[in-house]
Amino acid sequence: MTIERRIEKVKHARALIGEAMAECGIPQFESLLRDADMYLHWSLWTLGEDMEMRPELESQAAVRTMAR
Amino acid sequence: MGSRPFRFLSARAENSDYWNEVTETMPRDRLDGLHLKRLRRLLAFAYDHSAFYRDKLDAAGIKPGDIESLADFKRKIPLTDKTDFVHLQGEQPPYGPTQALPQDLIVHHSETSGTTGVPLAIPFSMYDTIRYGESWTYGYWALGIRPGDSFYFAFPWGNFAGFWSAYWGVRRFGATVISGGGLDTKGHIAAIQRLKPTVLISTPTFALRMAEVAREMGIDLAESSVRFTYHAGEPGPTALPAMRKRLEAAWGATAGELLGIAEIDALAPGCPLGDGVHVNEMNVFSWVMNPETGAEAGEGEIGEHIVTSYSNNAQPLLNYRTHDLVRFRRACGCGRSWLKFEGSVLGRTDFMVTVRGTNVYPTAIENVLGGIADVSSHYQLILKQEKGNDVMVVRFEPTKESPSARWPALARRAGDEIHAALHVRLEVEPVAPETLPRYDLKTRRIFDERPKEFRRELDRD
Repeated sequence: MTIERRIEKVKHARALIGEAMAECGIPQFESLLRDADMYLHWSLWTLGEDMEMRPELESQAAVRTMAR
Repeated sequence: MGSRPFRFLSARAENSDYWNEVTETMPRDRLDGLHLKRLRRLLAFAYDHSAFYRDKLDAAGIKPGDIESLADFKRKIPLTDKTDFVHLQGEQPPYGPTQALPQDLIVHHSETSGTTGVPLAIPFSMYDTIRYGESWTYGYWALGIRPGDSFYFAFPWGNFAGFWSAYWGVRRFGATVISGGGLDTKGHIAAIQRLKPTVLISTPTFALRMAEVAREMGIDLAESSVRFTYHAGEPGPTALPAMRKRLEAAWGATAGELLGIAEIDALAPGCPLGDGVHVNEMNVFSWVMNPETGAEAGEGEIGEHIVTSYSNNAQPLLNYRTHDLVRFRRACGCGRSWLKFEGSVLGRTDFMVTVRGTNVYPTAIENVLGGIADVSSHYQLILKQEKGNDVMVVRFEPTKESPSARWPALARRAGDEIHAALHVRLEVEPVAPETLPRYDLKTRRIFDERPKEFRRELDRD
């Protein structure tokens, strides 16, 4: 598998985590998935991807894009 | 034997020469392109979330969108010095206007030792600790350490970020942590013999001190389980080849070193060739500045290391003056494309010296002496080596009016007050008034009497 393909899969995993976390209301589950998303963000950063400074900022950017 | 159901890494990963070959050998043009994108994002983040940087950039008339090249960033973004903001933390404790994340995201509080007079408080988010620890992992892997190794931490787990970040790195790395916290030197030696770690983490001078005490106990640590010693906090085996020789002989192990700055990152793990450190360009952006002119220094020229960290979002620092003098190279025989600082730090712009892992600034000692009646403003700091350890002697002149019978008490008081302020015990000795040299121009305070091979390159005059 190429690095590019691996990167696509990780981005997809982040999207799935975002969906699983949305409006969950279970603190333990939310915090665990938040950490999982943090590690996935870090994995993309350390493969040289152009990312926001923090994973939360990407969610914000996505919301702004959808709102336009 | 059947298959291994539990393994930390795949066989292919275990055979890699790098912790991450993709980024450690990334071509320079791609690295620089990535830096520009990341610096623009960091600028926007700092402007939006750090009141300190919003004010600083507004005062300079800069908006984040003004930066269109790395040259723009180096030239237009004002330099930051610790003295610009450490006093602001006193006005708005604990972190002041440099704090860029809300308190509920701050998971670790750290401080520098305060040897300039005022400790710097450093906040970290969870993500910051992951990234900061990651810097160590590149160095661990490069030296030959692997996740199956066990790390013995010979440090007291106080508030200093340095070895906490080494611990975060060991957690990321998947190796075993053995804490020596709270033990004295003999206790560390006994623990190492009983628990058989394969890696020692400590300052280099403390590693030598342990070996010396062990010899007095009739124990040869070169026969111990330790195969690697890894160091930070003061000039070590990379900066001082003579130190490497002593460490490796004392421990029968391979010695490594990392260059870090507490408020920035563990920013430059050692090169496996042993002659320098490689800036972790996934975590920081570094360049070198001529401290006299402010112009960028070229490859091979000595200048001051200026650094910007991506990895500390809780307290972002941009174009931060390290006061470390370095000489960089782009190419390295180890294959890494990350900037290399030959010999690590070669000297300081501000005359700071490190004694037993503690940074000592002459101005801090001057401040202490200045607060004691009957002590004049004339003093010297003598650096020596005794039994393999760096010691510093403070020689001061009492005032002419002070009777000589009082001088020993003055010396004891100065020693106690220096210890209270700088957290390091220095020998203090009075000398007769008007015996220390006077200077017409720049006063020379520091006299380094250590063997030349135990001084950094720029300290060997």
